[in-house]
Amino acid sequence: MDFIKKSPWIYHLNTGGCIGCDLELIACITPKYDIERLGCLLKGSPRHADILVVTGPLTRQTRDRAKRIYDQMPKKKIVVALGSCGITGGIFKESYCEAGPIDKDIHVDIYVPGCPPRPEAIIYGIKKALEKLQ
Amino acid sequence: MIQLAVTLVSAIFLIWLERKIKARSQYRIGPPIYQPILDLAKLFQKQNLRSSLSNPLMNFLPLISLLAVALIAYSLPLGNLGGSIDIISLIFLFALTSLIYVFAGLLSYSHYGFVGAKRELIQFFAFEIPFAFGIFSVAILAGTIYFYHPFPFSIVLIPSMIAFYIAGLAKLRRSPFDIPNAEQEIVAGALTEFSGPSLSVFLLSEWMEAFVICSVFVDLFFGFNDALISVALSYMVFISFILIDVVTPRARLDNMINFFRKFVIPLSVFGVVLCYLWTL
Repeated sequence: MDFIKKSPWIYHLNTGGCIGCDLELIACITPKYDIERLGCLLKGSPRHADILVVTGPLTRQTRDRAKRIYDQMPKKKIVVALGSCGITGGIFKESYCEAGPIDKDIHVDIYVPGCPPRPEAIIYGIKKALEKLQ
Repeated sequence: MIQLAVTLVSAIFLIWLERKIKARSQYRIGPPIYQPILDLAKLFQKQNLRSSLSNPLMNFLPLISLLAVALIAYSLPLGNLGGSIDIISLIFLFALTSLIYVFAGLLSYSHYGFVGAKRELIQFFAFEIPFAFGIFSVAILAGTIYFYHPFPFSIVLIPSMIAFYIAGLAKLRRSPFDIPNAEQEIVAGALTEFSGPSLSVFLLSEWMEAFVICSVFVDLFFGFNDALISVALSYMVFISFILIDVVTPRARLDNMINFFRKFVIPLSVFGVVLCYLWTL
């Protein structure tokens, strides 16, 4: 049995967006949505995490760091790209400092659209990603 | 052997209780009761990653920590369940778990780990004196260093009891003394670089230590010759730790040192002297 589906720990990485998606991700752990009842925890260290949630377009500065953080996570790992910026670059697309969306460098399992996506959508996306692991 | 089983089950139950109480105090629902077991099982299924700069000895630290805690749990006179340990070994094994935490931070080659280890070492020097003196005062009253049955409540032990309680809070790294693993400042302190099975074993040893310290506290200061009452009292002590953890903010390192230097250490010295004068 895969216990990762029952206790997915999330690492949250902002790769240079506005913090809209980050606030919506934080809203998931507030009393109204409370993902801890599903076993999710927001972890500060990528070594502890199972799910990498990437918000924002990949800027030149964060590209190398994002790849390094992905490598620091132990297997099995899941990557979720959050919001319009995480998927395509969004409003920052073709900007001088933008180095392409995250899926150019890292395999992304699930894209959650929205600007920003609602917390329900984020929880649904994480659930889909865990189903895909099978 | 029964003590070890009780400790293992209680540790998992108490950690669930901690998460549940924290969640309910924030008007959240909180995790289901089997959540800690699932967390440990999941970590065992994951890869054991280690930075190339870190020391290979890092992988053995969680096992030593678990072994030290299991040894205390195995030989603890919990209520009327037999078991005996001398207080020197007790203090040594408790100090060992703190030192393992320091080594975990130093060997893992991470800045967060270094800072966490440094803070734990400073905190260790603060709480170790009241912690040891609390045990000494009971030994003076009992007239022996062998700890083979719970010691009944005595009014002269109250200063040592308060000092030991605060030291236990600092030893368990619960707020206001959660300085070494301050999540908002230094990620997870010394455990930042641990992943997979080694993190799982480390967490289990920390959880068991939480119950072991509560049961040592109950055995030393509220001894009952009944295992069930002892375990129930240990749970209540842990719940009081959690309630303090929930309502207090984190102390600054220098405030913590000053609090121990000016209040807790003198109180514990006073407790030992009081117990000595009582036996004269």
